[in-house]
Amino acid sequence: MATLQAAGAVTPHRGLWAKYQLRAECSSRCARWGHVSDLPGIIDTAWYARPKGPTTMTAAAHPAKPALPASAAALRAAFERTARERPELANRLPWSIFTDPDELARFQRLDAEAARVRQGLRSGQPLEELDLVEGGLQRILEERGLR
Amino acid sequence: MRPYHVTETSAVLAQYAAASGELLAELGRTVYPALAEDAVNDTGRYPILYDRGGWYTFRIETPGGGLHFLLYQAIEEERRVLVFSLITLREP
Repeated sequence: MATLQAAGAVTPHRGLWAKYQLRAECSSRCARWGHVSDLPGIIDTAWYARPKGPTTMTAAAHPAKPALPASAAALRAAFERTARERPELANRLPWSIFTDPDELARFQRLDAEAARVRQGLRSGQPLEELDLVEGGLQRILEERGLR
Repeated sequence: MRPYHVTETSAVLAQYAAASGELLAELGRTVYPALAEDAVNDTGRYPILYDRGGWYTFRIETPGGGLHFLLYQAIEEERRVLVFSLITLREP
């Protein structure tokens, strides 16, 4: 049955009437394939293993994970790689920043700022209008006597 | 190959101004030269990771045990790097 669904051959149905619709749908499709010898058994197995209850309850039991802002996703990927490469650091990384609402808002602002800057560069705005600076690190290094 | 030009937001410069000398020295000695040479890590030589949405991270570990991540974007056709944030996890 899973194979049939994966192939897009049948559509999962809910409701008592659907078992018979499912049988009819599979029968018409599988008859052409000719290699399904125990079609009623396959359908019955799939039917009794189907998710129980209305779709809304299933969704509430497994709420979709909200998408992270892209900048947060990038940083989390970097954390995950660091944890793999340096296991001793794994527990010291502040994983909670990916669930903290204030931090997530900060990442959203970063995404918005990046989009604004890139759009401005594409339309030819000068760097200073976009709050960008070139050579800023060099200036700070010189001011601190580090260069 | 033309080098990348690194550009920072004023918010990042404020973060740099408050950073330790050790981190600043590391930025000037290794991180920025690496960004200028290969901001998108085509060579695979640098601790740079790219994720969806155009964001790159550069992991910076200083000799004194500091751990930081630079969060930036790269515009390859313009050979430009835009640094948006410095995240310090462990000083210095």
